[in-house]
Amino acid sequence: MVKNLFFGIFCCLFLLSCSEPPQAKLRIATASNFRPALEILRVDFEKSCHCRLEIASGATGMLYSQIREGAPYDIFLAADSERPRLLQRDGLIAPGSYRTYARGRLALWIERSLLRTESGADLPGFVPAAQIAPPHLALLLENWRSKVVIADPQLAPYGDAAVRLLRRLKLWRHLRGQMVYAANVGHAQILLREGHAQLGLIPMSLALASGKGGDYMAIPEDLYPPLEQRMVILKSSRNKALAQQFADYLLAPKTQQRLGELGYFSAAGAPVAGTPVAGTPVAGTPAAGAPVAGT
Amino acid sequence: MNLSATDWQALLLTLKLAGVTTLLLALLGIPLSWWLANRRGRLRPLLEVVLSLPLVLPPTVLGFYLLLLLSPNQPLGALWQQLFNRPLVFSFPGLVAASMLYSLPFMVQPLLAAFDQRALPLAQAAAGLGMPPLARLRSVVLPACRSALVVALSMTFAHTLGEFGVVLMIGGAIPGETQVVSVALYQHVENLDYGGAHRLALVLLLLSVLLLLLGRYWGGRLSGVLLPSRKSSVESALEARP
Repeated sequence: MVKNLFFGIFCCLFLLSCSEPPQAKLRIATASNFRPALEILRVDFEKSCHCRLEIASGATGMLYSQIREGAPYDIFLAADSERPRLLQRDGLIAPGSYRTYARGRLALWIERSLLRTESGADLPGFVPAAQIAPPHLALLLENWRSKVVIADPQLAPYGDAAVRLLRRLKLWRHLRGQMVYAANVGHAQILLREGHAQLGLIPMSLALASGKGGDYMAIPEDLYPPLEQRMVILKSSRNKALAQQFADYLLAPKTQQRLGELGYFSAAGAPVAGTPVAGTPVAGTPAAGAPVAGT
Repeated sequence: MNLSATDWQALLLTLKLAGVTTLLLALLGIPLSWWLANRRGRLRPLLEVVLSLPLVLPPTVLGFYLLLLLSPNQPLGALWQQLFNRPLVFSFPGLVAASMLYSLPFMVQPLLAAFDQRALPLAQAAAGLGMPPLARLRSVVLPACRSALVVALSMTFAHTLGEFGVVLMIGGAIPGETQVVSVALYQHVENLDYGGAHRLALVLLLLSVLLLLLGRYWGGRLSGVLLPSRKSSVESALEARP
């Protein structure tokens, strides 16, 4: 009886392993912020290439040191241009593969109920999914008394951008004691979604993907250094052709267009049509580029 | 040793965390192990397995479930929030609670083994002679198991020193509050500050070696220092013979 059972299980496993046709695998190391976008983009790519993506995600700094120590990835999608540049300097990348694939955007994530009046209307100047005007942002943060979640600025470019934003608003010293540092932006998203903190600065891509419990507002992109996200194909890759195919797919106009709805600007730098913020009225009056309150 | 101010802060915090955790875990673990050692039933293997789960679960996973469990949107987290008006995560008490869970097997398992093998027969004999339960634990069981106790204490302390995944998940790396050595070390490594990482790792390594050596020393030869040894007159007489 038991013997038969084992035989049955063995047969099932055997059949399972047979049913999957041998496929090429592409190993991608991606910064946590790009993971949700990549999960959506992979569907089309896998259909066209008859291959399978294996995705590892983490803080850019962490992935960078893994790659330096010889981690077997084919492509590295970083959250900044600095780490890929260092890999290029160290001679670890395939020539000509150092390209910008997206421009990241920082979002303010705040618990939904805090943005509403008691009657449920939006507070003036705090329209969910719209861009928050610098004076409103400064006002909100000046009066914020509890924790602020960001990704660890030493490891994650988005954390670094958040700190620079707060410095720019001259609020860093004020808020420093309230900061909570998450291991990466994905961890920051979990902390916010589970209600451990009510306010955070996270990538727009994750703010869009996180859905329940909170609302986000776009932060004017002239308030923080540009998050130019670069990719590289690794020199050690054994799938360079496939990796190149993926890089081309990522840079294709159609894919770049889709990045807009996934929380990014296109690699060319211009806001992509269909960006969530573009359709909604911009909160407050100051135009982008107007001087920040307090600076 | 040329440690930065933040590293010193992290080191002191880690020692404090390990100390508090070991103390509280001893207060919890000794009665718990004794209770478990005295249980004979079908439930006992199950309880033992549950108590050793933190050994098996990856620490980051443990931390993740703690995050879900302690969320203010969940009953337990909401209750804590109501009682103390501050969240358990991102705080030193939160780290202590998580460390206690994480290091629990290191306290319970050596004690349980020693209780089972050595102390239980002695305690039963003492009970037969009419000794009350608490006195049995204090003057028969613990002295008989002091080496196991020292092992349990030093292992718990050392294990908490090196704790990383759980702390990373629920701590928030706040300097002076939740940024322990392992997290600071990780930040050094990922930041390519290998020098800083090496220095911290060396301190941690020396500390652990010293600690475990001390544990062995006390547990073996100097066992009488920690708890007064109570040898029977027969034992003393036997040892006194040339």
